[in-house]
Amino acid sequence: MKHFSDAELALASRGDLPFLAQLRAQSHCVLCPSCRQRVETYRADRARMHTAVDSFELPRAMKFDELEGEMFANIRLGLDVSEIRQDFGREEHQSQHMIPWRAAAAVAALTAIVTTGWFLAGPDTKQYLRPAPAAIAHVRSGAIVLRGDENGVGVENRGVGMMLRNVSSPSSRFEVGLEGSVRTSAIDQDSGQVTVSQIYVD
Amino acid sequence: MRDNLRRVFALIYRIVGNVADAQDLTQDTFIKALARKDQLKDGEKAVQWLGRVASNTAIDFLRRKARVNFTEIDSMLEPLPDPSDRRADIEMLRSEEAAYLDHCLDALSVRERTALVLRDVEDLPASEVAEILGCSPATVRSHIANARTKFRAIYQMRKEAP
Repeated sequence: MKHFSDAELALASRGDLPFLAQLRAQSHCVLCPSCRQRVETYRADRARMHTAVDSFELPRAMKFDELEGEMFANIRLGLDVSEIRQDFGREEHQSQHMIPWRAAAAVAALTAIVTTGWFLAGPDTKQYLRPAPAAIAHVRSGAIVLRGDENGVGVENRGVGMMLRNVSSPSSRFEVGLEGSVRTSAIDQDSGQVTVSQIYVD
Repeated sequence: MRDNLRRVFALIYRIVGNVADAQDLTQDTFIKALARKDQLKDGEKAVQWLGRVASNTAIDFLRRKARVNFTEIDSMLEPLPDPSDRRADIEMLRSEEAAYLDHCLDALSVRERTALVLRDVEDLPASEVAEILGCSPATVRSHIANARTKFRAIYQMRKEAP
C-alpha cells in the first residue's frame, strides 16, 4: 500500500486537497492506521493553535487591560477624526457646487432691498438686531466659563483666562459635553491633520 | 467591541509578530470596520468579517513594511526581521505552551504563517486566503501544506528537546 506524503496528509486533515485527491486520501486513511494517525496529529496542531490564539497571553510586564483602555481611546479618537474629515469633505464638495455669480448677485440685491424696507418700516427692530454671540460653544460653571469659537477653545475665570488657539485653520466643529466640557476640532487643509482641543470643568 | 478586541489583537499579533505594531493595527482595524459597518449585511457574520478586515490590515502593513511585493517576500528564506521586542516578548511569555507555539510560528515564512493563521485559526476557506494574499489557490495550498508540516516538525523537535 502506497502511503500519502506529509504535505498531502497535512492538506487532507482539513479537506484542503482537490476533490478527488481528498476522496482518495480519506479512503486510504480508513485502511491505514499510520496515515490516519498523522492526519490526527495535524488536527491536534490546529486545535492547539486555536487555543493559543483564544487564550492569548501578553508579556509579563504588560497588562492587557491597560492596553485595551489605550486602544479604546485611540479608536474613539480615530472615529472622530474620520467623521470630521468626512464633514470637511462634504463642505468642500458643497462649495464646488456654488450658485452662478449673476444669480447670487441678484438674490443678494433683492435680500438687501427687502431687509432695508423691513428695517425702516418695522415696529421694533431692536429686539431682532442683537449682536451675534462671539462664542459658538459656551459652558458656564459658577465663575468658570468655557468657550469655543473659530479661534479655538478657552477657559475664563473672573475675566482672566487662557485659550488654546488653532494653528492654521478655523474650527470646523463644536461640541458641548453634558459633563461640562467644550471641544473644537480643526482640520488643516494642506496636511489633512485634525486637531481636537477639549477643555473640561473639573 | 470589547469581546472582539482581544481576539483581533491576538490574530494580528500572530501575523506581524510584535505588540506595538499589533496595537496600532488593531486600532486601525476597528476604525476601518466601524466606519464601514453599513457594508456588513449579515450581522451574524460580523466576527468573520472583522477577522478579514484585520488580516487585510496586517498584510497591507507587512507589504508596506517590506516595500516589496509578496513574491519577493516568498523568496526570503527567513521571516521578516522583526523588531527586537519580539524576542523579548517570547522570552517573557507566561506559558511554556505559548512559547512553543510562538517559536513554531516564528520559524515559518511570513506568507506561510499568514496562510496558516487565516486558514486554521480564522477558518477562512483556502480560496479566500488566496484572495487576501493575492495568489492562486494552488499556491496557497502549497503554503498551507508547508506551514503545517514545518510547524509539526518544529513542535515535535522542541517537545522532545530536554
